[in-house]
Amino acid sequence: VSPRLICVGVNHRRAPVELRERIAFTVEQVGEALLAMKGLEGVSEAMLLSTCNRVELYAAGDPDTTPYRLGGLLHRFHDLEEGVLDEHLFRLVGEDAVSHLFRVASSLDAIVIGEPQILGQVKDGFFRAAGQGTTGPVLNKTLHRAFSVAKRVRTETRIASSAVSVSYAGVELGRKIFGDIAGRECLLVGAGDMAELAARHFVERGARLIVANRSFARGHRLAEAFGGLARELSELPQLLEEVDIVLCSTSAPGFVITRDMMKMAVKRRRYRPLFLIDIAVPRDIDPRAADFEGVYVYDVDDLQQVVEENIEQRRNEADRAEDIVRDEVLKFARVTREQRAVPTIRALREAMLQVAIAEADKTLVILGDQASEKQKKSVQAMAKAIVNKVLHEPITRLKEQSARADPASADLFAAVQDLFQLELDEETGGADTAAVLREAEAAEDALGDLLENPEREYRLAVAE
Amino acid sequence: MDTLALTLLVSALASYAGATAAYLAHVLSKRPILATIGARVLFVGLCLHGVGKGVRFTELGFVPVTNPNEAMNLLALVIGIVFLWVSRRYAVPGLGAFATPLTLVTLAASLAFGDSQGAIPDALRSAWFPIHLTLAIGANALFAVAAMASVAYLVQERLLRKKKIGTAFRNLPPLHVLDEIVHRLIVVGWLLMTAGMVAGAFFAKQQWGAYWSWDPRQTWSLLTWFLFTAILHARLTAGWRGRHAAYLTLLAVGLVLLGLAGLDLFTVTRHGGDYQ
Repeated sequence: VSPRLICVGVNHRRAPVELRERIAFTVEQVGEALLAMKGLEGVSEAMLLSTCNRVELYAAGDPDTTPYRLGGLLHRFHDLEEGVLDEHLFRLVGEDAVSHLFRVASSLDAIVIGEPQILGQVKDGFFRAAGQGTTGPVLNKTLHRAFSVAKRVRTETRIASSAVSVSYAGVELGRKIFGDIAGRECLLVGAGDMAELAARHFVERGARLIVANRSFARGHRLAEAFGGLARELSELPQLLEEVDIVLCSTSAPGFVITRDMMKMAVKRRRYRPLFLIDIAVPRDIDPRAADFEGVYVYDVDDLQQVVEENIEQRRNEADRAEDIVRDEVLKFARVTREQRAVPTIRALREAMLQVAIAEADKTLVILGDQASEKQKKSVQAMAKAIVNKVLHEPITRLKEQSARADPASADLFAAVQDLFQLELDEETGGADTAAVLREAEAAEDALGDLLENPEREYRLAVAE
Repeated sequence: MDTLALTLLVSALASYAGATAAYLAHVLSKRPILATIGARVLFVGLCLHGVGKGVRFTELGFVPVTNPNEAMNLLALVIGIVFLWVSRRYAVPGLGAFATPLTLVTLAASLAFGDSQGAIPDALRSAWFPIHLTLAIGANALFAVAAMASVAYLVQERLLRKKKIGTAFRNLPPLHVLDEIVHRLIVVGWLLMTAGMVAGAFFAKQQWGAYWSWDPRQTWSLLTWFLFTAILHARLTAGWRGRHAAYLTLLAVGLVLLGLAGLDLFTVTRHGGDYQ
């Protein structure tokens, strides 16, 4: 029986976090777990994916026994009572497993659809398995295609092109004002968690950070963590003249940035655009600060609205992405099936040709000098032609059968191999490790420079 | 015009229409591929247009820009080229939704209003004429694209201020980039315009016997030249960028356009191709 792709695991939908964290693999455990997986009977290749949202074991092996063996391994490895995981685990075989992997790599199975981290996590998972020597033709071929599907989803849909977290929406708007955030000055007023997250996004894009906090010491610590500067909160009017972006998140009861303060600053700024983001509730920035030329004020509700529209848009795009994945799964399955026939056909033709050439040579020896060069060539050509003619129908049938999803076709191959006593070559799976990693990098490039991490904000929100 | 040249120009017009449709659809939809299609179709159109002008040139034996219509025809071509360059240089395909319609309309108008006479007027055989003309058309094309970038800026700024962060906002270029494009195009356009006016003065000296004779078109171009100078000055001294600069640019380019199209109707000018 040829090995098939198997996937056993849990994701954020199947199991609560209390369970996921019990079966998560630490970096140190991964190598050992991979070897344990590959050591299972009937398993020829192994890879695993362990993130905060999913623990998934991928293997190539016997489709009947492997799913249960992998489940058992998961219990044993984490010292769980037998059967604890059973109601949470999904066990996917063949096309279902391929489809799942494609969806995971394309970030369609994420809490926040389209979030970009998962692609790197899949890549890491594959890289570790390859380093441990547990990958093989099935995983290589499937992962190679998974990355190319992820790339296709990213280039053909806008599933990951807009911010879905409040903190990142600020950056997205900032880029639409300034073009490039790099080198811009970003002032952080107050130092709440949410503002810190947003500031991190700006700094990741090359902005210089200035922190003005009521407690100078705390502001100083934060500024140092981001390689920025700390200033006194009393310097705010002066700072408003200098910076490009302001992030406000103080717990002050009234406005920290007033209309009058802005009126003074705007003239000195000579109309350079100023982008004010107010994450505080109650608000820190007088909305009338936006009365002035080149001053844009967005509060939490504004950002929230942007995010909601983006999420809605992502859902629409996700439908198209799902279509792409379905299409790719079908294509992959067809190609895989067609390739299944290749070793049998090749072996059959070679065996027959060997017989024919041997018999022709015998005839030529008997004829000796009686036959001219031309006649000898004709005899050899005839022998080959007979083989091709005789095999034409059977090979056509084998190809037809292989293209069909019918499991009975496997019996046909077995019958042919048995009838003609064929020795099959070891299947050589198209892509090698380096090619898979190249494809992974191409898919990451398709992401552009998107560094959003909506799950970080999601976790923050859950924690609150 | 013989059928080959006409066929080429009409095909170019059709390509511009296709490019316009693709760019507009790009700004209003979520398909990045549409901008690529728009750029390719526009490129094909510009090639057809260029070859069409080339055929016309070999037909006539002189550059076919002897009257305002023909000048407008060439202007459409140069606007298209300037936009394609800007769109590559600054990665702003969204600007196409504003620039390609302009190319389309300019070429359509020039084709609708007819053709030049079969022979070049003697007056235009001077060496100053092609220099003056090239500089003037170059400057006007840069100003035209600057005006379209200004419109894009005003639209984008309004969307940002009204907090309408939708597909259009996302597909239009960032404000800073648009402002930068407007500024640079006006700087280069102003230089070309200045040089073009100097060349025009020499041309006038040769033809009319005086460098400057307060011909309505001369006067008008001096007026617009002052306005462009003021735009640049205001940006440097008072920091008039963004919306201020966009409105002023639209005003100035509007006056240029009025000068090109309307001056012949209301005044008597010796300037332009239809005089004898």
